[in-house]
Amino acid sequence: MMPPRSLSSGFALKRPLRDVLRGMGFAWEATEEILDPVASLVPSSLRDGFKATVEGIDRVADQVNQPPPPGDVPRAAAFLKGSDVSEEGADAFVRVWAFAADQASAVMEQGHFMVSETLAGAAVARTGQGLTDHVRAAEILLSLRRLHSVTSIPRTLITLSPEAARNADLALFATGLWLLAERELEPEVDLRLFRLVLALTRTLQDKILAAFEDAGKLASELADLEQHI
Amino acid sequence: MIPKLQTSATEGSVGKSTRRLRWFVNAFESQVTQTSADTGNEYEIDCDRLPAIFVSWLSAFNAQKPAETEDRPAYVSFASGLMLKELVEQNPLSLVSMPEDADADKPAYFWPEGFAYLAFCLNVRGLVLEKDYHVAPELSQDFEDTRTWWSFRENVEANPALAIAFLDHFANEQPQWSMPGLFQRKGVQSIAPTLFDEIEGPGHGA
Repeated sequence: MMPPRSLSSGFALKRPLRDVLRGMGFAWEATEEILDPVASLVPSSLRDGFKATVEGIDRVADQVNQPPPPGDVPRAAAFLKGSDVSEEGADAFVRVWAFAADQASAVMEQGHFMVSETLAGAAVARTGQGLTDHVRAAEILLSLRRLHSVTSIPRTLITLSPEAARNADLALFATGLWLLAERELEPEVDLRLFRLVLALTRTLQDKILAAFEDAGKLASELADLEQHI
Repeated sequence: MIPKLQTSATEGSVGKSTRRLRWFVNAFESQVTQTSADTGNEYEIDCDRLPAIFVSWLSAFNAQKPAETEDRPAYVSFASGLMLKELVEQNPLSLVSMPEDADADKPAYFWPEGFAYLAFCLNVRGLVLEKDYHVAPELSQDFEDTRTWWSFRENVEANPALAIAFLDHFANEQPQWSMPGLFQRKGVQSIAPTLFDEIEGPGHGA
């Protein structure tokens, strides 16, 4: 008999289901923000019930926000550089990118955004074939951006503001730059390196956002900064 | 004495390693830890500021990097001064506490943040000079001098570019007080004092 699959292994879930969970967390967070100013008008019993529901949804949604399994980050890096173009490499890349994007969105004061692994998977699968290193990385980043895999939620009030779109681009660049750079051996140290790279990317945001104009500029910017990470 | 800097072993040029974000952040944090251990001062590091400091420093470093090999050892000092300038300007440290019996006439307690910044920059300078150029770094007797530290703090807080000249002073090098932010190549250095004397007269300085 097969053991029951636990939601705690969030990375075992299929991409669309992970997108649904991520969307739930994002939508409820926004709902909380919208309702917060009128919370005092609601009876306390109703307020407590709502709070408990939100916390329950947050717990489930958090299953997609865990650090990637060991081995995913080096494999994602190999995929971005073109040294592992297998389906498994693409899967690892999408998981790592989505995790990094979630982390980046969480540290932004404003302009939060959400990612879709399903759309990202489709985007990266057919991008950068035959290319290597920085040019391939730039093409993959641009394909993710073009397909709006960082997106709004249809039929809700939640849309991607210009600020959120800029933040999404910066997170995309930071993820690419981090994956191209030399890896740290300890996963926790490696994730800390991502946060440093994100901070560096935000410092240089004008220059980096301008580089998204074309793959050549983006590849050049990635190559230039990689040596300083 | 300067609190030591423990860094991980680096392959190849140390100078090149210093131009990597992860090296800079690790080395700075290590310096602060050691400074705390040596002085009893407790600091808080604003880690979010470190990448911005690194970027500003790297940009300034690249802007004046000399092409000639003979100018590079002198540029190590200049680059260390540029880092001191950025640290003083962007101030990523805040003092949480110092020992109850701290003597405010000692540099570490007179200006705890400045002391950690200067220790870091002098140590990195020394490391690069020793490993990459086989030159033993020196330390000025003024490193412990209270009056020099008064002047250092007052001048640098008013004009952070003077940190470059003060670093040279503390390292027993010839400081350029008049235009501290402009690197003077070896050939220019030899004629610069004469030029300044003609313009301002001898004895100019901070």
